[in-house]
Amino acid sequence: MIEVKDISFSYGPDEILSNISLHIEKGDYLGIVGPNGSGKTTLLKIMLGLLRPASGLVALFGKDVSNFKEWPKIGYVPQKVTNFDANFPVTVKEVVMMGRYARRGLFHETTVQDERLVRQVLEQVEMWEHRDRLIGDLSGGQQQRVFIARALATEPEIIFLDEPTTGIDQKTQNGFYSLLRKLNRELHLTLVLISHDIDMIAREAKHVACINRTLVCYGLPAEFLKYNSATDIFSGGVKIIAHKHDH
Amino acid sequence: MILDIFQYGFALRAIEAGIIVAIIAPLIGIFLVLRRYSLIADTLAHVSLAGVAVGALIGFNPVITALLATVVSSLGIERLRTSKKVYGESALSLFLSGSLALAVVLLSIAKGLNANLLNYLFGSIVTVTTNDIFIISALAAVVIVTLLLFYKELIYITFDEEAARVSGIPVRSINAILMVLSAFTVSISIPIVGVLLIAALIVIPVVAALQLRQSFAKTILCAEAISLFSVLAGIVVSFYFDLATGGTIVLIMLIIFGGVSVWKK
Repeated sequence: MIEVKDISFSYGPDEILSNISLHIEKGDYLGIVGPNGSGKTTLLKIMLGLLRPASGLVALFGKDVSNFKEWPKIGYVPQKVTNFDANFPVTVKEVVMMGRYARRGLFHETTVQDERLVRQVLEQVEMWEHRDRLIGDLSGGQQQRVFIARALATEPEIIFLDEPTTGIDQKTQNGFYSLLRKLNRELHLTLVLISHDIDMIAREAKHVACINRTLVCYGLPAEFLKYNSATDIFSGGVKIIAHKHDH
Repeated sequence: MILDIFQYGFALRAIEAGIIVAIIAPLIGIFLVLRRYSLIADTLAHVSLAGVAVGALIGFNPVITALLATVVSSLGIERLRTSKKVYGESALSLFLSGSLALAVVLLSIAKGLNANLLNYLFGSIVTVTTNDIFIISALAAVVIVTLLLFYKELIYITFDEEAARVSGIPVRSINAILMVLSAFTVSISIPIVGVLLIAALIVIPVVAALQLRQSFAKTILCAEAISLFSVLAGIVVSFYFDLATGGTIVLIMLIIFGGVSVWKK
């Protein structure tokens, strides 16, 4: 479904990522973890074609990302809670309707079917009753659900989420992860989730890729936990390990 | 007495032009304000003065030359901004001061026309000709139709440019379209409020409507209502009290903004 091969990326002389390869199958739930500044978000942006790698290639659904056209197959939940314009005059329903715009395409108005789908996804994330509230008036956890709903509204096959639980309390986070679990297990949506919450990822994801400028560990959650306790890259901060785990 | 104003052809044309501009300005304004591009309106307004000066010099309809100048500059600004060679607001300063300098020099060459300068700086709604109305209506129609065509993409980009890009929306092209539409709006607003007050027309009704904290669609409607009321009231008030029309309109808008802000506190 998604193939990442030998990706490298630099900002000027600073190499942010080197030689990263990932392979994401349909139905996978991949957690990408790593310390701050490890290049997780950069990797995600490269996978989505927002940044161009210095070398290597990304293929989405078998097509090189620069020629990829079927963007509605991809849902994206950006790291919003922290950089969000709380005064933006837009309701929950209007935000989720944006997810339909890509499906409709240029010059096509949204229809009653779009309205119906918006209702369906808002019910899925249990936010329908808040449909007419301004997005800025919601709590961080509720906003995150709305952004998930927007991603779902494009009827994607895979959803990328960038640190979706930043600034959200533990209890809300639990509800959020159970929603993701439901999407993955019941709707068979492929998920790629960036997080620094290693315990949660180890518990929830099907595979874990640990990034620290390079791919330091990639495999099942159990393997990651074993690796993590042996090397402790999270408490050590910027310990860069050349070891690569063959998957 | 109330009916008096309608007996004058110039006043009727003023009202027609005023209504058209009052409708267009907030439609563009909402996207500019929410994207923190408010200053672009001001910059393009100054650019339009250079265009007006060129028109005055070569004896061509100044609305048309202003339009050409603003369209070219709007694309130049967008280019400079996205190239990241200069900071966004520095790009605006370059164009703002550069075009003002050009306008001053051109107007000094065309010495005899300096008397008209005030009309362009502060608006001269009473000198709107039938021909102007025709040009203004045509440009306004282009702006409205284009906005309708790209309405949903513009909302998405304005709210979340990155997610819009991931969803496959051609963000760059649509940004460029918004710039060109802004240039159109600025050009057709010159006769109503003048170069120095155009930004007010584009920005204030939207900022006032934003205080009401409504949905996107309702915010646009509120901004439209504020804009139309202010422009019409401004024309009528300035007619009866012999005041500068552009300034009166902008002051009424500011009073509404103040009122809404206090009410919503």
